[in-house]
Amino acid sequence: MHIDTTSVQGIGERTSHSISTSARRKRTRAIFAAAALALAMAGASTAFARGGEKGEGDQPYPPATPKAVVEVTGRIFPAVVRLDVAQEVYADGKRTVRRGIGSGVIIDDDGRVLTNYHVAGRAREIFITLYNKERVHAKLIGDDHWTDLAIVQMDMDEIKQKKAEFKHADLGDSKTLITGQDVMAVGTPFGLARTMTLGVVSNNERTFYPEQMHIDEYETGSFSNWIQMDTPINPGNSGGPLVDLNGKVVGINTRGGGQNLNFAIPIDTAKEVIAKIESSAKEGKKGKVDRSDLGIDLKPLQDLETFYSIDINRGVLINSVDHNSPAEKAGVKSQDILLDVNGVPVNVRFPEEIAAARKMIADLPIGTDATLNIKRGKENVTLTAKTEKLQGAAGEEREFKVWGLSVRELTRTYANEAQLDDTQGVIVTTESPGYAAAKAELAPGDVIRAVNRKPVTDMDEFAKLYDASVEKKDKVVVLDVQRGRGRRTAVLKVSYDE
Amino acid sequence: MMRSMRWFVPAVLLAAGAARATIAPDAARKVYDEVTPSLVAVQYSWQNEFNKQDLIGAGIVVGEDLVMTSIGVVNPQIPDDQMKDFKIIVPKEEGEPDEVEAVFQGRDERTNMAFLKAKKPQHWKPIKFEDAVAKVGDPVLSVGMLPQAAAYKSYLMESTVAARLRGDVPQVLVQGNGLAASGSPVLNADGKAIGIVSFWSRQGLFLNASTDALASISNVPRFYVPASDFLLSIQEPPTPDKPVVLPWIGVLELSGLNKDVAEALGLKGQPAVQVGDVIPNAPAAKAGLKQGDIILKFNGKPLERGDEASELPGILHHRLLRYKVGETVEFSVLREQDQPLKDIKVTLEEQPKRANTAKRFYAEDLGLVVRELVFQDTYARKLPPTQKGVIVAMERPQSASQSAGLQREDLITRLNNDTVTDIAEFEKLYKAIRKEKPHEALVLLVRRNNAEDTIRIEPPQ
Repeated sequence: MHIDTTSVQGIGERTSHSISTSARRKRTRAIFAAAALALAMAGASTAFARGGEKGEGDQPYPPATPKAVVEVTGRIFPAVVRLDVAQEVYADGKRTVRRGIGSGVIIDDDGRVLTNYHVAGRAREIFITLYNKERVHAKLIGDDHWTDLAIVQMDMDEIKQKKAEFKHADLGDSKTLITGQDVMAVGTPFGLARTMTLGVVSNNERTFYPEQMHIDEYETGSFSNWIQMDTPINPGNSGGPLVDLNGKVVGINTRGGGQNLNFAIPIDTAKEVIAKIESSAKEGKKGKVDRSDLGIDLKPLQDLETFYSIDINRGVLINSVDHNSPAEKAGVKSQDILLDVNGVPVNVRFPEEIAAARKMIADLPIGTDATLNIKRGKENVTLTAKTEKLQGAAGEEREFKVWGLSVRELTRTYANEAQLDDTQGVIVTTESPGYAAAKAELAPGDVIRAVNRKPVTDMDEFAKLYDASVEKKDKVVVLDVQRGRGRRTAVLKVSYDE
Repeated sequence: MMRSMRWFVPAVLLAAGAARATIAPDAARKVYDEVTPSLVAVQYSWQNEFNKQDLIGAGIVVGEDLVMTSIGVVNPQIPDDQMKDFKIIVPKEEGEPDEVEAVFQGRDERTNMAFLKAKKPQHWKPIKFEDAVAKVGDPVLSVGMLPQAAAYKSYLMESTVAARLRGDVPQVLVQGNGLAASGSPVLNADGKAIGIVSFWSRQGLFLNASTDALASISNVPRFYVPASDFLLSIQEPPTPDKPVVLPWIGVLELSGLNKDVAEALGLKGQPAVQVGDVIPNAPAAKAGLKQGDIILKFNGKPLERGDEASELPGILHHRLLRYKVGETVEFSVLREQDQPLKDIKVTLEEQPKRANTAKRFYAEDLGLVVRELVFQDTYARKLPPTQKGVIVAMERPQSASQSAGLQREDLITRLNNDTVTDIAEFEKLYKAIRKEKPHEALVLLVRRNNAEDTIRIEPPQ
């Protein structure tokens, strides 16, 4: 199945921007629809009454009676907001912004809002419009592209000053969701605030394995399955809540496939991410979710059990081992069957079970030894791999204005994907037309290995060499550049006449 | 206003056309009459594991029974033994053309030409190419052949030399009406054959393609290659026993230094080429050439200039190809700034085997054709030259192999529990499995880009 990825940025201008599926990694490209971001805004008329824990009166899967639908709509609207976001992006060698609109749901009385990473991640400027149409400033507390989630803090002083009102929504459980259950999506599709749509859960463990999803250059969707529902959602709904008929949030509407195939992030996944972002966020420092990585690609064992002579529902196939990864260093090989990690069984027979297995590895403590019990041919081997902090392929990006380019940190994941021998250097991403980098015919993807013959170990070193060169007002800068398998010398002729 | 402007523009063009140097109608007709008998078509049947296709391209008689065609007609990517039933089609003024059985003589990649010889002796009229230079402003004629759908009729085009460009291969640009189809001879006002029309990507190379029969007239080529570039092929054409063996030094990713780089390295005004990658154990590596070296001289002389720096590697490569395996060439390179040049003598070796001559094996039940791994495969995949395995060359549409997710260009390294060392080993393993278990699923370990994948193929039961 192929689903289009469309995320609408800048609803006002009606531009559409597709969530990149630069599937350099492994697989045929998945094309997915990111349920677009629209403005959901919550208004508050009805009282919003329930507490955080499961109410006594909650039914397991309450039906969408006309009464229930109207009541729940009234309760959830004051907790749903529209976000107008300027996201940080790099283009033409410069840091700039891309404006977009999305939905969000207020999750506590302190004014925290849960939304999608593709709505508010990397946000430089956020405005939130409440249900009562008041507009307030907000700032990004933390984000996590792997789960496509972000948390935003509304400016509470401004809210008090404007006497704006809001309610928070209660978070429910997504693990108890069952297929066929009635649900509602709330948000701001195409900028149409306070829109409620109704539908059912079409599937509660949707996976798109083996497709790999991306938001721009950032990997996403690896660590949990999706809730699939037929509630209509459209660009602008992104980040808005999917609620059950008890009025509890069970998912975050994220991707739309058109034709009534829409997808939400389970709220159980979101709850964990919220806790991690909130506990790691400090004044002046974005909250984040750190995960472990071993550098292995897992594959379901369905139909391969006989070949590998293993019991049904036992183990998972190690499909590929990343270059320079902890697993490679530990001696893990493709076609090993991973049975247990630290004594805990990992069993993946079906694609639906992959996300949980990946998450189990991601949840290992970073920088600790993991004992891998492996079946290799007829033998059983035990290997020890030291977990590394998970990094995406897209490292930190920075602009270097005088030279007219932006570059990215070279992560191990990127080096593996681009088949580079090591992580020395920085990657050229964009260039300013007419400036030195563009004139020197640098190309996106080029790896800058040395500046004036001094090796570039990482981004900080590159920044130091740049600063020193600009300080001296070097007119000529000699770069050692790797392109493909070849090396070449490039010369920047820098001008300082501004 | 706009309307009148539209009519005004062509009027100006017509006036300019009238002012050009032209060839008298009688002289032009004479050239046409003399060249026409030397224009033939070459036909062969491309037969791979599951398809068969007849291809027809333009050819020029260059010997009594020898025909030259553009290399594109017999694309070097097609394995030699998949090209069968060669024929030379000789059009007649009236009636069906003659079809003469022919033998493929081989390709010459130094000049981008290929040759066919009639099986039985013929007395065709050859065109004699000469190294005569047409200057800017000189009129040139070209005589081409229309497609099969237009009965291979020959046609005349006239134009004027507009510029001489360097390019990787020298090219002459014409203005005016343009040139006849790719591969047609180009002649000067005296009727001397001085070049061949370059490949023009907006036009097919094949005379039996089902496109517009007059496409070559409506979208004309405007470049030709002067005869000086390909005369050596005609003087010593390849034969099945003596194919053209291409030399190599094992240096890839060459880049021409642009003006800024040259200046920064103190090489102002000197054409220079930087060595991007040196293949281990290849001739250049053995001779001591290193990544980053900047080549300033070839056999003691400064490098030939190009119209732009990016053409320098192509020009050098083109030049190098004209040496023979076993010969020694000398590069003078700059390794450290302000140090004297190092002279490095490289003895040329034969180019590594390529995909078109790689051995193949067809696993019919899977619809899978695999071929021998060659140097280019390991290089493109950034794998060590010692890498073992076989490459997926082709898959039959809707085959078991295709539906299992195997893709063209995948590198297969394991078959069931055995390492696939080479094509012979793959064939042996496959046949052994099939002998015992004719319908069992196979499990392959493949490498695609940066990752491996285990793929199970269930053959049709």
